[in-house]
Amino acid sequence: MKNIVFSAFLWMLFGITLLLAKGVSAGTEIINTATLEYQINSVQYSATSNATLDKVDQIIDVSVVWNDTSPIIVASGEINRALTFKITNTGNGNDTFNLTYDIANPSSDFIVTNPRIFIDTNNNGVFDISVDHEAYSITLAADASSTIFLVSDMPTSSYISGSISSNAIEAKSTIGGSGAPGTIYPGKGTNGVFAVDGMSGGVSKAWGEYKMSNNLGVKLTKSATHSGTEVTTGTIVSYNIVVELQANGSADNLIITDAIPVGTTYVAGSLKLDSVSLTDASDSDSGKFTGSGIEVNLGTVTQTTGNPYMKNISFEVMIS
Amino acid sequence: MKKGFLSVLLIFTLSAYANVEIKSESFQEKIINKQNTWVKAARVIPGTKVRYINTISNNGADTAENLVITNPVPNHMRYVEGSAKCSGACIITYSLNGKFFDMPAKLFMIENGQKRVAKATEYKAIRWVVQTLGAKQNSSVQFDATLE
Repeated sequence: MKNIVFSAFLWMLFGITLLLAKGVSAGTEIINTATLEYQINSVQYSATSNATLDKVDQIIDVSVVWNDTSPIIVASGEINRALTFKITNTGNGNDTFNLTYDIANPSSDFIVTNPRIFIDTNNNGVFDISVDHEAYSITLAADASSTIFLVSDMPTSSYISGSISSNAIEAKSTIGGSGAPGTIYPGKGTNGVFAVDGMSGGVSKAWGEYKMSNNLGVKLTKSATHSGTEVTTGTIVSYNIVVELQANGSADNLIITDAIPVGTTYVAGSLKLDSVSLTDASDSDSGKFTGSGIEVNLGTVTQTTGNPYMKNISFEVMIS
Repeated sequence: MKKGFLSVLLIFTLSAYANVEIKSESFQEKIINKQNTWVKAARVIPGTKVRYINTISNNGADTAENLVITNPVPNHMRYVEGSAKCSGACIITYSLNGKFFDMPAKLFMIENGQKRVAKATEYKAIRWVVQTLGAKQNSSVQFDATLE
């Protein structure tokens, strides 16, 4: 097949119109005829013009979009986890698109294994390995869409929570798909019309994301000491809370709260994080006294091998 | 029966010796050397603007009068507002149904129960009226339409 790439000026011709791909079906014949009535020496005559015939070329266009609303949460070792994509034939004629996957995104924190592409056979938008079928090409009529899945297994190695893996599906027209808008294919369109790669170049690729989320346990160890040998009215009790993570990983917005025990009164200004005082007010530092207890926002916390996470929160109360 | 046959024969005869012809051509815009140029159309794609030009040629020895050229907007095409022209003097009217023609301000559509002036893209036909076309003279009328 000989592909002819439009020269620059011809591309300019199509530049605007290709934005409007879809529309009239490929192969449609646009016919124009005009009629004429006139008089000569008061005698009425009529005439009909020839019919002009313009044929509609096939625009080759495709769109692939990632359809999940947010990264798919996965855990190490899980199998058959699906990313959901939508493919649409945005051209104006039937086309068959080859489907390929790409799991080698340099920005990925981890690489999935056993990637496969499935078509949503029962069209319910949900991946079901017992119903949906594995396929690497799909035929779509003009404007038709289908849900497709990129299904992968997760690596068995441990990755910190929040690790991302970006993976893509690419659809490429089997009529065109040069990637260069304006490339024409004489006689290759529906019913032998010319075909031309549209704005997508007949190729579309979309990335979707898996997000690793290991169960990240938070361990709190609370201890208390008090002044004097006996606990009586006026005794100051010092509490210490040790905050630790039980696995490698990351969590956002970790907030520690502790209510002041009944029969005690919070000692103003006693709240500390790792021995650094925090004000009781709700302000720019991470701690505050709420009136009924203390609250410390530790923000995003991360633990990796060799870098264990640990924080100490302390405050005092007085026995009423 | 005989009278009817003669009428048909007469009409046929008048048409055969009409001497005024109409020829239709379609063009599409192309940019050559940074200039817009209209070239013969043959293959179009959705969104293409096509210019239809009808050339009227009076090949006879007598002046033709009251020439009425009617051009339905082709199926799948939408008339481009203000594009209907003629090479000489003419009166241009439009139709929403191919039967009744009038000026744009007098063409109305009903939308959601409300009457409004029709949009140019809703025109179904265009009509040009040219008063006279002298012997051995040519004239032309044209309009643009966009492929849906």
